[in-house]
Amino acid sequence: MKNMTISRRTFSKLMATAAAAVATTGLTTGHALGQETAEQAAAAEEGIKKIRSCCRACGKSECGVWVYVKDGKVIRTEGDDTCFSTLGSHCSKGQASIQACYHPDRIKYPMKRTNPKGEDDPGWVRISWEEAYQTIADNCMQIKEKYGPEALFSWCGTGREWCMQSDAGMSLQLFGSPNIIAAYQVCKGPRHFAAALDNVEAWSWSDVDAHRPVLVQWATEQTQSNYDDSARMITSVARKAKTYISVDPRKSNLGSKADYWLNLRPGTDAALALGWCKIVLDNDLVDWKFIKRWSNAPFIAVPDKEPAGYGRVTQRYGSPWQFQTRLISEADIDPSMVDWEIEGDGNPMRYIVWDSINERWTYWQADPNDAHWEGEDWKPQTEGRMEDISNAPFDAVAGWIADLSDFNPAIDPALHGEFEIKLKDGTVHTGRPVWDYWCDYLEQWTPEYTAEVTGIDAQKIVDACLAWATRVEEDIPNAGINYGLGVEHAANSTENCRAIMAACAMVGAIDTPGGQRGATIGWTDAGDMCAVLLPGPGSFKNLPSPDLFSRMAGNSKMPLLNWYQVWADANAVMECAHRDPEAPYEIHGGMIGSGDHMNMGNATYNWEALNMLDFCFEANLWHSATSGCSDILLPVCHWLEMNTWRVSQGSQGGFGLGCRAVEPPGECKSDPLYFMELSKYFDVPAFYEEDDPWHDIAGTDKEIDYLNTWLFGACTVPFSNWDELYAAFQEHGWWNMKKEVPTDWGTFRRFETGQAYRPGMHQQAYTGQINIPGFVTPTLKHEFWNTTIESFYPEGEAGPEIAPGIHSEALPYYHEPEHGPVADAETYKEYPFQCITGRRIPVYFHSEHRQLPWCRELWPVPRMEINPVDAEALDLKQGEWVWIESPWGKIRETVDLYYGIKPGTINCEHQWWYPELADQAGGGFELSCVNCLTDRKCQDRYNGSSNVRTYPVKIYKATAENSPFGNPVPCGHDGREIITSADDPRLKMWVIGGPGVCADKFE
Amino acid sequence: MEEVKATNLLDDEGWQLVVKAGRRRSATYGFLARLYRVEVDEEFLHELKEMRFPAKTGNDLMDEGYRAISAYLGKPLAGMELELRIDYVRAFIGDGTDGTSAAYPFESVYTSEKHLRMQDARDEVLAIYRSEGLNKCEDWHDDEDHLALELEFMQFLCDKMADAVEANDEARAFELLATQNGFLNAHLCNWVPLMNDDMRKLAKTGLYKGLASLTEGYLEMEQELLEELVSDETEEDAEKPLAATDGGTHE
Amino acid sequence: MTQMAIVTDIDRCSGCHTCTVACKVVNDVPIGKYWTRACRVGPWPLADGSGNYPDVDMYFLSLSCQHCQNAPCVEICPTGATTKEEDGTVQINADVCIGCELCMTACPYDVRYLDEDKGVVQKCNLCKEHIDAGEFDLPRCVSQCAGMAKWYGDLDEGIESFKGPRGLTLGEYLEEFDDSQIYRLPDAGNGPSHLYILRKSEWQGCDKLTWEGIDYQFVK
Repeated sequence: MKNMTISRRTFSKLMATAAAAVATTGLTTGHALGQETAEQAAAAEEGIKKIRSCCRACGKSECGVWVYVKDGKVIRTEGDDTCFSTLGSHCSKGQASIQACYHPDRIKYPMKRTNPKGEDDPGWVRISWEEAYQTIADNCMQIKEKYGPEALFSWCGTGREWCMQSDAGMSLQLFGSPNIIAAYQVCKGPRHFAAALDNVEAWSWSDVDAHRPVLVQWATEQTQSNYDDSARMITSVARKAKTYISVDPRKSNLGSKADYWLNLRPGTDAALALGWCKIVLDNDLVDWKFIKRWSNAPFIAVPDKEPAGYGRVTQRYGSPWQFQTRLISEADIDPSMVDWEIEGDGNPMRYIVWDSINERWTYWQADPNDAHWEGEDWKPQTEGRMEDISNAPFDAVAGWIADLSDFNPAIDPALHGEFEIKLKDGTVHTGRPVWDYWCDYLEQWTPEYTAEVTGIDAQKIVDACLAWATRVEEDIPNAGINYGLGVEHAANSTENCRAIMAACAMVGAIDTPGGQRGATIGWTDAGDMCAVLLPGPGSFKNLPSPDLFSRMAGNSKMPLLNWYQVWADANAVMECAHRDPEAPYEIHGGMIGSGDHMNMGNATYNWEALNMLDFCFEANLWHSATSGCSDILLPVCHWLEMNTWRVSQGSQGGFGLGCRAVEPPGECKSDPLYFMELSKYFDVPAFYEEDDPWHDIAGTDKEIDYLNTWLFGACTVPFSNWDELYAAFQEHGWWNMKKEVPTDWGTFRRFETGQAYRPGMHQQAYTGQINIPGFVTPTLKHEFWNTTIESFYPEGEAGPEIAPGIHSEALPYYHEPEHGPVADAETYKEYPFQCITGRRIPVYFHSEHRQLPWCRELWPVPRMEINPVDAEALDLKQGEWVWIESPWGKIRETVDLYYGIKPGTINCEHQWWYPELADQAGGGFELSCVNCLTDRKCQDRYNGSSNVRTYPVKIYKATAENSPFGNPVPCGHDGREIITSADDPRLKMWVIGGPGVCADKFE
Repeated sequence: MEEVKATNLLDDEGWQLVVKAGRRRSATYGFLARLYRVEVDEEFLHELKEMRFPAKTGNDLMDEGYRAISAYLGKPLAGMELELRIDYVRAFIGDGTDGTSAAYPFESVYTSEKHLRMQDARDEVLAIYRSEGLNKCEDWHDDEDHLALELEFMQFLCDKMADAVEANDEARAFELLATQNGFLNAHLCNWVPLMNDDMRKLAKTGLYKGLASLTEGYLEMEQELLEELVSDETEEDAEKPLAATDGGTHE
Repeated sequence: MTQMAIVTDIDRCSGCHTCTVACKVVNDVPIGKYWTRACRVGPWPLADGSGNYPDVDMYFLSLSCQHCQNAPCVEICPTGATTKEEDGTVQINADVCIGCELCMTACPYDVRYLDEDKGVVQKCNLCKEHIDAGEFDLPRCVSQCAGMAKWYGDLDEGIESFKGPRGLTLGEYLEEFDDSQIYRLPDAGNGPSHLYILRKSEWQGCDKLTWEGIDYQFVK
């Protein structure tokens, strides 16, 4: 036993310390440290846990990863090499996940501002979730009562858990508002929208992973963006292909390995596609069977009659709309025209077609309940063969390809000719098959004309097309086209997408290996639980009727948005929020995601509008550029902290899980969880049982509860509960839906087997019960002649003249980009450069990750690619700051001398803001956000997508004379420079004994 | 004052002083921990307003701290709670994104090269808590190396040390003092003064500015005390057989 | 004699920076310093083209310590901190290094840096510690490369044997190439070990580089 001794000095110190204590009462109670529980002790013994999961450092590809956890902490992440759909890819953003998850500035508690918007110091305080929920509900309800439900909106980009439409449910179910703004409108939405018009929603996605002999990568550089295939996958496909064709105005990273680089003028995608259509036609590379049997090419159009039709309902919400077309049906004609007995007034769903074999009229009956050709007893196709995957990775799975069936009884629908059409009213008109009009329109799209419009060498256009379209295997095309984001941004997105899809249809690449086959159909629907929609019959009580969609802002200008019912036009909603005198009504409150004011329309205008709102809340992991206009901030989870399912968005066919690796810090909740809880405050039941609207059982993990209800109840996941599924996933890894759902995802040409007809949400759990031949269009055919567009735009004035004095927008047509150098030549006189934007930066995802040192050091400032010849004429050097000015705004970026861009064109980066300026509202977005330059009123005619690429600008060096604070380098309001290099001390990590936070930040 | 090398101090009075100091130290640590752990709520604010603070502690920083706190609390009550809540966020949470917006009260942030949460420091302190059978409470959803927990750990050790003395388990008491000394140096004095510096720059209210000085000063005082207490046990002394008390006193 | 090395198939490298960041996560590389980086080469106008867009070419060059055969850094190091190991790699013993930076002047490829906090020079060590400890099978940049462009093995065994992700070997996975398409960095007698495969583009050596948006030159 030791003796403790103390010296005099020690004694006096003891005295002093006793005296130095403050006398406290028992009220300083509560503590954070306590006795260790058995569970906690067990965790220490576990060593390193290896958890299989799914990354979400972007929101695009479903990259399988491993997460290593030691004692409640993630120590690293890496690619899961066994994930067949992404091949173990884990990009730089994903690799930096720990830096994001454990960043000291993550929002961990709900916050509310105590100072008004516009003041430098928001005066944030922490509040409880209850107070946050109540405040949100009270404010929103108040606005709703005073101004109506459409006075509320939601605006979100790519979801944190999964992908698109992450907060549509907020608007629809909690607010009862149709004003859903989604970045989807300018990103992938146009592709999905156009595909919904032409065949099936989202069949714009192609089966890239099939490793076909030809890859046509039309826009998008997936090695940088992993959108929607992982970098490893697309690199593999491109390298293993016999022919790799890159369509891009600029030389891109993987694109520099292409066999053909079709360097088109920005925004002329439809022109190139139409040129390809003509080459396919002229070289007899058309899949005639597909065209005749599965498209509306043989249907007869009579341009000079009044369109006629019947009432239909929208795919998503069953809202009524009036279908009308000039394609001839049994209901239009004089019964004497045909040799069968027409019942009653004739069936408007029976489209007549001329049979060249029997030289008589016959018909296709486009009734989903009884679809068939005359005399046909349609049965799902059973003949076919297995896919050849010898070029694909070793873990690929082969699908079964249904043969194209023959007509039975045998007919041969005419594709050309002039036919006498006698209408009911006795008048006689000339009708021609759609294909005939189509070929007429294609006449002008010779390689030479296409070259003239697009700027691509004519021979290259031909050679590339022939390489693509000339079949290696007799019975299936080589591939479809993998078309990406760039086609959507010149305010002609619908037409670009339609023309490209038409080319794919012409070669028969619809739902074939490598062809256009849309979203993975498997065990589940879209992988975004309740942030999209809450389940349960009561969940739409705030949405009084489907007619509410007719109240969407911007509806009158873009009526097809009411048909589509997916998003409201961003600019129109912002005009309402901005209280523009011409807006149909005012918008006073809503919810915003992260920095979304930068993604569509004009960022400056949007920012003004957001600051005019009475109330706005944001759910985020960080103080983003938009926290400055928010009243309440909700802290949400990082992907490392979330349990969810992940199904491949596109055609990759994967199903896996996102597995919570660590507890969320502070009071973070996942988006789905807070959404479920918030719903209670809006009096919307979040669960299935209406009389027990919420499982408020203590200890219930609501998220797991929901997963159990949804995955195993509503969807068809073949396990009993989440725990079982989780364990199976850890053991087995990713499931391949081709293997698990062979009669849907494992089958190609599902229009032959009756499983393609899938209205509404493009991703649904497999049922196998569809049994309807064809596609989800009013004609059930792939529509060259688009009857939906025709219904809403019967005059077709924006389209080409297809008959003397008659215009139509029904066929895909070319439309010069409104702010391109041809249509807007006048403006280019003063603003001589064509500005394109939006290309991917490997370490960022849109506005995300600027604050992660591992990302920012590699890409400190925005770069404008400019041809060295142009740069020299303007006396610009590599790395210098320049002003880029359009008629609508001006920003600064740095010079990157780049021979890969055409003289006269520049390529700017998008969505830049500066976290080091986060203490000023807006985070400095006005300095470099490229959407400050846009004309918000220039939009796609049909879907409203913004013109965020291809517009006129002028460029000049940033100098002391022409820059604020006399500094070419962008600065904050107080003259503080932004971070411009990896050596900036603000990026450097903490040094023990260092001087503390940056001295220049304080007095 | 000249150091008088010890006589064995076994008499009750001396031991009582150790216990008393231990309890008081525990209270101080508890007080500090409470101020860092969460915002001052209405109840605690009333208690604070009632408190008397020592005028002279012998440590300049502590005196400065107590003065600032006391002066602040002397202001009218109206609006004080909200003001303090805003200042709490301002001091410890911030509203930036570049990693330099707050005096983040996490040791990892201050000591890890990567300036992140949940780094080596967290692992180390967790292991030390565990060695004493402690861990974070179920309702504490933040990292284990939050300053509040580290201070509560010291609080716990003070109490345990005092308990041990009262139970005549000197070996255990000494062990705990050694643990305290180690922990203080390795996991408090290495980073908290830097953090306190940032607090003074960021906080606007006298309460949190004062808290910074108070904490920094108190750790200084603790460091000196523990160094003495631990070093007083020399190897020689350790080998000495149990000596009878000679009833010596100090002074 | 063993010479561990990396073969990078440039035709698979898209300059995505995954290797740089993946390495940082596991090797504690300070901000502003890198053990590996993919610099952009060009775009440059093709010799037989119009002299400008679109007749241009471009690729990405992955730069890291070449673990040279006759490493000048080994030769110049005054304390013996830098050594050529049996496995062919060049390693730095941080306990011996005095941070004199002589090696940095000797290195032709600018791959070394002084870690100011530690006062020693650092560089890529081919993840030797991780591999020796059985933690990794491959250097991190190899296992995480998002193009499956990197392959790792002993040059003496022939590059077909080199290993990469997904349990594959270069020989069984990589697209065809011939000997004339294999390159090394400019060699001033130091004998860089890493190999680069480039099939159609013209090898630019160390010319026309940009890194982090700035012109970059490393050859002395």
